[in-house]
Amino acid sequence: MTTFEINGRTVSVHSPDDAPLLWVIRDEIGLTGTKFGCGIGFCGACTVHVEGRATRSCITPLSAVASAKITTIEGLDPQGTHPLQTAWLELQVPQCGYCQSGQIMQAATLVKDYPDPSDRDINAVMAGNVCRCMTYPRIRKAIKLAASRMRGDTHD
Amino acid sequence: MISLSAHGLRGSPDPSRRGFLIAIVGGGVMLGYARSGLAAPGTDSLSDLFEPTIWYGIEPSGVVTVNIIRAEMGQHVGTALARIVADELEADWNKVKTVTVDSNPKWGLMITGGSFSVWQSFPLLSRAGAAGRIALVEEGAKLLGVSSHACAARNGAVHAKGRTISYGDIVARGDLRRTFTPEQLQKMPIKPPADRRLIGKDVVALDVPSKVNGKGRYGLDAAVDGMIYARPKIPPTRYGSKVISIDDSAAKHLPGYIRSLALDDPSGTVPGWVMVYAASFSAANRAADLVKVKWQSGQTANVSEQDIQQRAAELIADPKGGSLFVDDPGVDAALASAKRKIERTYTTATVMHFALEPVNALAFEKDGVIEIHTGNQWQSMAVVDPAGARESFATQSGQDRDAQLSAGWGIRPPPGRRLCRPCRACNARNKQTGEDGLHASR
Repeated sequence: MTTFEINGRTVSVHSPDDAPLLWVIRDEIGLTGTKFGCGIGFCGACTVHVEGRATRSCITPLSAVASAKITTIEGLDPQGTHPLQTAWLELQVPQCGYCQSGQIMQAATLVKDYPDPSDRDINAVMAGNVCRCMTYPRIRKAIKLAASRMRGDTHD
Repeated sequence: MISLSAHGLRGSPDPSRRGFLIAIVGGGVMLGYARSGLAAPGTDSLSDLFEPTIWYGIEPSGVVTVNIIRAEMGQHVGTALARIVADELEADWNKVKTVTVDSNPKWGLMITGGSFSVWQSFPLLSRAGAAGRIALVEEGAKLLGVSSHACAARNGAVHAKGRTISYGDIVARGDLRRTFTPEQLQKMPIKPPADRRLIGKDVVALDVPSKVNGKGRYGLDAAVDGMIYARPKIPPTRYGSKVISIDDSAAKHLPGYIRSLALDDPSGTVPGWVMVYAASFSAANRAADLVKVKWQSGQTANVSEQDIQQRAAELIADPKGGSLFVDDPGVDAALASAKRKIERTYTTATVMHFALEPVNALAFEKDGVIEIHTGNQWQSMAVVDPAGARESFATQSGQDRDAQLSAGWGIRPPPGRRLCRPCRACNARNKQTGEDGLHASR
């Protein structure tokens, strides 16, 4: 049995130690907002936060997160109104939406690390999150909009 | 390229031959195209009354629910279709909801593609909305005690001489039962584009909020209690492959591994597929890598991209082959007498689909019916002929009610077959990439 905290709730799970965290979150805990894209940490659809850091859950064994604090898209903000989610909604970033949980979770650590991200910062941090619908231009805009609001800028 | 006529798309309901009905159902009203041979209003059975492909309902709360038979895969199609109804209905957009229906054959042909979802639906949905508005105005006028000519419908309510009654109240208090003949429907006054209030205006698509908070459901998110998991081992060729042997000895020690089975598929949809079953997807995924399958490949096992290009070049070079897009009789003469000729060849290549959501489906038996839950762009094709499948079950393919999908065309065959237990199958990314179906770029 492995115990960890997910979205503020302590859970104990029975999956084997080497089970990828992704499938534990999706199939054992039942939170399906985190997606399975590639299974090899290449596409970013499975991105969650482990101790606040963006982590590819599809290649993270369960044993690595024992006692850790995990946040998924469902727990990023209690009301689902994190500045990134609000910006994503306003700019209608998603098309099919399958990659967007991962995009938002990755972007959430980006705006923490780079409060005023340049295009270069965004390219560097977001390059590992692929979008088959090519929503990249809107992702970039939404990150800048959210970052600006989080800095408290009055002008967007 | 899909041939529209070949798949019966021309058979979609033709408003010129369909009447329109408004009936009372439960506490609300249902508005939709009548089946041929118009049934009388007052019959309570919905399926007797309606051509079910296109209908919507209005509840006493004023909520308008529009049924959507198209697959949502990033184009926000439900929003587009609901806006057509709502614009003519003069509905309050904040009270409009969409419901993605299952793929019961009663809905008629279900396919999403060819870029026809909006334009083909426009005449049907706009007239449906207008018929609803006319009925609401008539009943609203009665309830307000004024002539319907003095009334205007706007934003989910009927207004007259400074007084207002909401659509919800009209549904609750009025008698909206109506029958419109095909001729009346044909002459519905549809707004000129300049008067549209919703169509063509910016709006947050109804599916977007669920795509930023993790609540949106896709095929892979469908689950039932007690389900097992599977990963397919897909043969070297799409057609003609046969399983010679399965060796699962290396997988047997894996905790959770159940067994591997070659699918018995008389329908020929998934010939040569081997399903590797386990108690979790992780176990099925690992086991599938350890299970060894020997196949006898189909004839196309060694066809390369170069072979396809070469074959295309041969066909183009054959003056007897092909067909003309534009038949211009002057071309041959002009070419024969031209002083200078420029010849260029443009080719397309086959490409991967690379839909980010791997192919998956959940299948289980419920009350003698096999339900398949999967994101699917061509639901009608996924309904397997029970006779062809030699199954004693009626087979029903179902798009999970709220399921949306990540891309499509050609890569989402129905993997579900008769299974002893509820099972969710999902392909692995590297396998799907390696075995992706042929898709011509455009």
